[in-house]
Amino acid sequence: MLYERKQLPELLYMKHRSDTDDDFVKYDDKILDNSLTPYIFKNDMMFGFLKRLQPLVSILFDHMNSIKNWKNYIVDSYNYKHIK
Amino acid sequence: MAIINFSSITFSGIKSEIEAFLKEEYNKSGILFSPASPYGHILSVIENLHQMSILYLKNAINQFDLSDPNSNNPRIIRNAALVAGHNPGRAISATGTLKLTLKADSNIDSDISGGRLTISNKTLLKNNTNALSYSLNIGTDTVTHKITPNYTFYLPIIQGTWKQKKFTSNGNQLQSYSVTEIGSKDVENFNVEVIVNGDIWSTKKHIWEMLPDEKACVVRTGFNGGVDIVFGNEGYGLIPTISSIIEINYLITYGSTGNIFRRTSNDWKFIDDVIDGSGETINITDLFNVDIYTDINFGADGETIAFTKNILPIASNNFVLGLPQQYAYEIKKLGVFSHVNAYEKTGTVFVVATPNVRLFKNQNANYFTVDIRAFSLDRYEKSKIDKYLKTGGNIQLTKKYKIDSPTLSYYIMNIFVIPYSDSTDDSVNSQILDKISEYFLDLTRIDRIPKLDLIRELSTITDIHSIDIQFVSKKNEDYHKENMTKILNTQESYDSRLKTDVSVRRTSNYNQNTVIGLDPILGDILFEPEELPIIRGGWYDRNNIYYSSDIDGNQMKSVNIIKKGVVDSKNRNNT
Repeated sequence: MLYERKQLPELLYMKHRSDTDDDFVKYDDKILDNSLTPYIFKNDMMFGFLKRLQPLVSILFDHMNSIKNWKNYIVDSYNYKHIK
Repeated sequence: MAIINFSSITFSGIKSEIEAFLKEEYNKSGILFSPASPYGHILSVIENLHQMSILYLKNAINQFDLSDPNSNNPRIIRNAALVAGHNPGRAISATGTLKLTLKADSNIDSDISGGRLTISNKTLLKNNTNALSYSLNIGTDTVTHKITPNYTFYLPIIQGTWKQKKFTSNGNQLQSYSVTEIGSKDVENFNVEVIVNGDIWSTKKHIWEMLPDEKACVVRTGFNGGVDIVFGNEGYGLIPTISSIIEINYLITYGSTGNIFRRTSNDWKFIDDVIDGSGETINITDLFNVDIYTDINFGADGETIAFTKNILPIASNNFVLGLPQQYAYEIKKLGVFSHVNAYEKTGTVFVVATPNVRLFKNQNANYFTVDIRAFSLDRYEKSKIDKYLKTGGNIQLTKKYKIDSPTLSYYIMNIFVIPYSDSTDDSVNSQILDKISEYFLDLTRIDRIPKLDLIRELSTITDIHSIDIQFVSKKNEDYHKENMTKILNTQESYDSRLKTDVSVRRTSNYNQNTVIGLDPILGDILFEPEELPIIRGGWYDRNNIYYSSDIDGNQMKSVNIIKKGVVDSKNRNNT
C-alpha cells in the first residue's frame, strides 16, 4: 500500500502499464481474507469492519518489507511484488 | 533491541488488557469474547501477524553478523553475498539429447503430410517417469526434417519450462527489475533472455562489461531468489526508452531432480505441437521411437546457504580465470562437484574435480555401494566443464589448464566401539555406516581428513558409549609389502652354506617407520591436491589380509566395526 501511496495513481499506472508480473500478494487486499475463516466475512457488519481493518494491518507488512529490502538496491524499498 | 522487546510485549499486554476490561464490564464476556468467538479470533490473528513481523525484525537484526554460526537466514546471507560481489549460483537444468527414429510400421505418405515435419525451439515435452517438463534446445527458432524410411534425428533438450514476464521501462538510467518465482522453483542459471521492444539484448555479468549504448543488460541472481536485471546508463549500455516493453524469458528448473540416468525408450510425451508439411499437428511419439541418446545430466540445485557462507572468502569479482583458486571457485559454483581442487604446476593449472556422487547414485545406494566410476569424470563431463570455463570467465592469456579426475587413494576403516547393552549390533552398525557414508558424500576437506571429524559425527549416535577409529592406507600397505617382499627375495637369494653373513645390505631406501597417506602420529588421512581418498576395499594389506569391497558380510571389508564389550544401558544418563 505504501508503494502505491507514494506516487500519483496516473504515474503508477503509466510506469506499470505493460507489466505482467502477477506472482505477488497484495497485502491490503488479501492479508485478513487469507488469515481469517471465511465464515466471519458472512456477517455484514464484520465484513465492513474487517475490510477497513485490513489496510491498517497491511501497513505492518509494508514497513517490514523495507527491512527485507534493506540491502536490495534493485527495487524501490517499499516494493513488495518480488518478496516471497 | 530494548525497544523491540518493549513493543512486542506491549501488543500482547494491550490485548490482555482489552480482554480483562471486557470480562469486567460484561458478565458474559467469557463466552462472547473467548478466543473461539469472532472477536477473539480476529484479535489472535492480528496478534500473530504482528508477532511474525517483530520476529522477522529481531532475526534480521541478530543475523547481520555472518561469522555467527547460528546466522543461517537465507535472505540475509544471500543479500550480504550479493553486496560483497558474489553472484550465488542458481539451479542448473539437466541437459542431454534425445534420438528419434522413425518406427518401422509408420507410413510416411499417409501419416506425415508432405514427408516433412517442423519442430520449434522451446517445444515442451514431459518425461513420463519423473513427470517433469523438458524443453527443446535446438539453437534455432524452427527446424524442418525431410522424413525418409528409417530416418533418425537428434533433439537436444533441457529440463524446465520457459516463462515470460513483462515490465514497463521508466526511461531512467540504471533501471532495474526483479523477477522471482514462488515455491521451490528456481530461475535457471544460464537461460535468461531479455527482449526490449522485440530486440534481444545481450546479457552481461557486470555493468562495466557493456559498451557505450550497447543493447545489453546485466543479469544477476536476485536478492530474493530469481534474477535481477539491470540496464545501463548510456556510458555503459543503452537505456531502454520510456514505456518500452521489457520481456524477460527465463527457464524454470527443478535442478538435480531433472537428471535422468536410465535410458527408458518411449518415455516421453510432446506437450507442444509438432507440425507436418501441410501445417497439421502430428503426434510425433506415435510415429517415432524416442530414446535417450546422451545422458540427461549435469542438473544441479542452487547454491546452499552453507556453501555461500563458505565460498565468500574466495569470491572473485573480476571474472578472470588466472589463479588456481579462481578456477576452483568457478567450478565449485556449478554445484555438481563435491570436491574441487586446483593447483598450478609449470604454468599449467590442473583442475581436479569429483562429481557430486549424490547426484549420480540411485536412492538405495550409499557411499560404499556406489559404482567406483561415479568418482571420476568421463570425457563428456570434462568437455562440459571446459565449455563452462570458457563461457563463465575470461581465461588469462597464455594460461593453460587441464581438467582431471582425481587419483583415487584407497583406505579402509577399523572402528572400535563400545555400545550400550540395550542396543542391537545391527542397529549400531547401520547407524555407523550411515554417518560415515554421509560424511564422505559431503566431503569438503582438501588435504587432510581429521579423525576428529568422523568421531564428532559418530558421537551423535546415542547407542554408543565409546568409539575410536583407525584408517589403513592402501598406498602405505603397498609400500611396505613391496619392500618387505624385496627383502625376503634378497634373503632367499643368499646361500648360507657359502656366505655366512645373510643380513640384508642396506641398498634400498626402505624405512619401516615410513607412513604414506596417513599422519604418523594422529592417524588422520593425508592427501595431495590431485588425490581423492575413498573408503573402499578390494585389496590386500602387507600381511596378505584381503579387504573386500563389499560392505556386507563377516569378512574384512571397507569398514570393519569391532565391538569391544558393552556398557550397561543404566549408564546412559551418566554423562
